[in-house]
Amino acid sequence: MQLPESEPIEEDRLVRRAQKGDREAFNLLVLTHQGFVYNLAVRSLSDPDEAQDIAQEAFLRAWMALPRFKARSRFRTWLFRIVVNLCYTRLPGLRRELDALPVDEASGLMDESRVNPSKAAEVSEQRDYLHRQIENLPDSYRVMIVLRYQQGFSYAEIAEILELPMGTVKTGLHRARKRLREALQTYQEAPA
Amino acid sequence: MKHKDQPIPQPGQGKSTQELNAVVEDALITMRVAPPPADLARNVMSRVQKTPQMPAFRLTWLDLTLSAFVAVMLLLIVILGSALPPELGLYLRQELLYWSMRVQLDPLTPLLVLGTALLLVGGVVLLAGMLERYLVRGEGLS
Repeated sequence: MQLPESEPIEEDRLVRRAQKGDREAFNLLVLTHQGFVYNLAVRSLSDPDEAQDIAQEAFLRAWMALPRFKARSRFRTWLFRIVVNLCYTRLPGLRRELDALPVDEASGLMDESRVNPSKAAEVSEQRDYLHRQIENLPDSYRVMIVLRYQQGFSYAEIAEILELPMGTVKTGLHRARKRLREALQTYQEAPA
Repeated sequence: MKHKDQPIPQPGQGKSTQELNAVVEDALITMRVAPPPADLARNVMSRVQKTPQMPAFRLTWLDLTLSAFVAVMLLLIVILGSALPPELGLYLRQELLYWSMRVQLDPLTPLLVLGTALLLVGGVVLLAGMLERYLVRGEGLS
């Protein structure tokens, strides 16, 4: 079950009820967010069993800490921060990778609004290849990609979730796209 | 005639950067979302049933009084220490020396200094927390 995206008010109401200890309301929040939470964990850790553990732990921590949630950010952003912190604990290298990214390399950032995905959709073979390449990207890039493209978070929200400067997030995504573009070029140039 | 090592042209070969970006962007957007395990929500809720929530952090009148008391006491010690007449200071130092010789105070000195420092830091942190809550955030007392 999922709440419609257009109903943040409904979610706010559920959060407020859950903050007062309403387990039924929290159950609805779990059902709404379990897909995204699990997906972020599985993409970060590349291990379904560990991802399930992380997802469960994240929801449990969210439940315990809910009375302290101040609603300064969206519930989803807050929840994802818990997931990412748990991933940092399991993968200490992930935090180091992210911290090692420079802040000021996003000047060549492509304008996403200028691309035409419907045209690109014709090349399904290349798409499948790129999907495999995404799996091979470093954990730090993969986490950012999932947050940006699967969860639809803004740069500012990703920066908040990962506790990084926004410039670092832009750099990370820029580098990830560059790597994929280079992989695609190599793929196209390789002999059949 | 084609050269033996020359790559065979692939569909889309020779695309511009813009076109490559479009293909990459498309792949990113169409990434498969891994479905969660069927029992994830059930497992979460069974653990939630057994887990109480942590109470929200609240400062009470007791916290306020204790922190203000500690802070004021420390402030008084500092002010009195600097305002004492030199004769009285000398007398107190003599007394301290006398008692330190009588009860072997020396081994306790580091502990006393540490305890005082911890008390000072604790008092200051409590006071800062209270001021941030009531003056900066304008929240009421519970």
